Amino acid sequence: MEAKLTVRNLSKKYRQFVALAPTNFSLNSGEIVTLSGQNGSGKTTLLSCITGLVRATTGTVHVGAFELSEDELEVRRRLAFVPDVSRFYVELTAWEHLRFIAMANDVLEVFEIRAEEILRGLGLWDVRDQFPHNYSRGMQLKLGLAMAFIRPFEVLLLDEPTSALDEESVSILLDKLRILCQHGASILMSSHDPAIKTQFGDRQLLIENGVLREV
Amino acid sequence: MGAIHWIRSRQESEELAYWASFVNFDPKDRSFNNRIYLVYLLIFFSLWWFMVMIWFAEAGAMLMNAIYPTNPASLAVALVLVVLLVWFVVFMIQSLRRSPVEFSGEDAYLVCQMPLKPQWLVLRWMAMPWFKSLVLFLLLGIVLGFSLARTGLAESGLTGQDLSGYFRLGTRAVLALIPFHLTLFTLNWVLGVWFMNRQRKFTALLIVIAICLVVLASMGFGIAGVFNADLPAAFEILGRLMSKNLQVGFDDGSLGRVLAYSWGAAFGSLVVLFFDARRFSPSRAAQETRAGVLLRNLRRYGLYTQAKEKKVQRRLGLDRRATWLPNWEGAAALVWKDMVQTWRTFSLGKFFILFSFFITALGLALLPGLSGRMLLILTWTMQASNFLTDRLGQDLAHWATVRQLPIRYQRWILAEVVFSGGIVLLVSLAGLTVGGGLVGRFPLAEALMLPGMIAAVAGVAAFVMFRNTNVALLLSGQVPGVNEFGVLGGAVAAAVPIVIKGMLVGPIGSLAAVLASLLVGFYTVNMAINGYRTIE
Repeated sequence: MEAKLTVRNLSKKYRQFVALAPTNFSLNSGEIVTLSGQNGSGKTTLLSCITGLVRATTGTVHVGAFELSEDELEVRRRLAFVPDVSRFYVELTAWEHLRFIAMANDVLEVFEIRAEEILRGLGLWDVRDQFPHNYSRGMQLKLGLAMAFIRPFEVLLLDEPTSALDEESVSILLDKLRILCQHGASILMSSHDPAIKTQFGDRQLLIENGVLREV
Repeated sequence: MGAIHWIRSRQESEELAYWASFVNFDPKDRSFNNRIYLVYLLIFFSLWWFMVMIWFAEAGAMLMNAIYPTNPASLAVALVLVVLLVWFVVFMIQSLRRSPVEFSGEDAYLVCQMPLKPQWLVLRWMAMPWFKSLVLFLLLGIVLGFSLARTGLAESGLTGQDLSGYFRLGTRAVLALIPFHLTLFTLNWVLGVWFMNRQRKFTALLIVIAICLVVLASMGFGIAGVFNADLPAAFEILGRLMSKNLQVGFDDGSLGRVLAYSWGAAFGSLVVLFFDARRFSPSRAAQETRAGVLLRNLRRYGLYTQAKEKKVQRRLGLDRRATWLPNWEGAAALVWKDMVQTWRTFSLGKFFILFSFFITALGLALLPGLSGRMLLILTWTMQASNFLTDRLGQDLAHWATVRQLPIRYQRWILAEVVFSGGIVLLVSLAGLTVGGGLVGRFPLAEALMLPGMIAAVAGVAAFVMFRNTNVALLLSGQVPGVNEFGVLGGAVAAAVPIVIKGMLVGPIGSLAAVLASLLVGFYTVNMAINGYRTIE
């Protein structure tokens, strides 16, 4: 099977503190992998290094044929990340956030139809003209997901996406992720939810004190 | 009540610690060295303030003799009444718009949920804001008391007797002022709390306005009274009530009796507040004031990014229908975002910043001298460096979003500066045009130099911003502002073409200046681009 995301020898050190030990793994096309570990074990550091939000100390990240440090722009086109706490522009409404992401990614074609479908699916359609700072934490998380779904990607990284969602929303999200995988997307999702860890993913990764291993 | 006193006294000691930190004193440090340092601070600042007040008194005495030489004490009373009148109006407007009793978000959960008697809560909560408000009036009283003492002294140096004169009149003024200020402050809270208790109904507002008008008119009559204006008997009595007590503070006369009256009035107003506050709702007050308290605290501790965000959030409210959604793609999306953000956050403050760009450009057209122009460039850079990098900083605060955009960082930096830069360019060109019209010659060279100068200031400011930040800060939404090095560096970079133009006359000088501006602009923007790559 074709590897969509390949991580080789990726590590992150803050002075003497090893936040992430040299890490190797890959994500295949259409695969969902869950990532678990205690608070502070290095999940967010790993996801941030893969995305390029934090510069890794060593190692490489390939998305398809493109390497992060060499073809950053191509990697950005193919890799989407939803942080656990998204930050939104104070002056833009939810609808304008989606519009902005679509404009920047050159995907304005049938934007209105796609945006409506995504927002209705996540239950944000009626509040699309509100400013996200008025949203609850769960709604903000959903908007973060919508901002990822509105743009094209091959690999999707999610940092604890179910932490603030109600049961129904979790079920809708997981269904959506399954559909995305059927269309060839690869997903790496960190979660503390035991049910998601054991039942949802194709594979499970566990990170302990910065060391990653397959369960 | 014990719990309330405990929480409030902790808040008061935190407040004290904050102000003490300005002189590097930590009230929590119980060491012997720290106590010695406290004694040193007390002696040093007592002497320092005494000398500063005497210095102010020199100017005060001169003004008093120039304005009203026949009775400077009356002038001092009138001045205090004018300041109190203005303060009362401003403070009253604030108290009517929201609760005068302020609670933070923490208070809303800790204090406002407790089954406490609200009247004690209000009285206990009043001490700190009253004292903070009093400080300025104490300084005013001391300066005026010292000024009066100075008017009666000879021109020669200070003697021991002079010092006792200063001390006597300064103390009298302060003693007279404290109960007077306390009465007005309490009256303000009485009316603010009463108005809030009445659900801010229009009829209640009319009553509050009527009471305020009586107080203000009394102060006005008091001011007129000290200058012996002819007033009807009823008005004169009202005016005397206001001015008589203060007059004794700045003049000779029995201070004890007057103090008894004024403290009686202050105590009476506190009793009225006590009864007025029985229906006070702490939860409602917290609802009205917690956002303001949060903003103040964020600014106080240097969290300007969050403070600015909170202010904009309050201003924008719940929702807004998108009216302008162009089909721009790629980096142009950033320009669209900037335009929407700028439109929605445009305020009087922003208008004044733009006006300052206009005035600076006007000055550039009018001032031929190099030194005057350099001063203009420095003031222009101080405003422009922040204005030009504001959106860039905001984008950095949204690191996770921005780093995922498929836009090269060089284009991102340029796109984020281009809109603000365009505004500065247009406004400055307007200033140059008006200035050119006034002197009868359009400053073409300066107009051509502007794009390079704007790029230079933006480049240096962005470089400093990038150098002073790190990813951990950005992921938490914290972005450092442009510091003094950014402003000075920007001013130097922008001044290069101005200096060249000043040194080389004629078309050659103009051409060299325009070329230099473009080169410096190009270099500094490149410097910023390289600076971005170093963010770790």
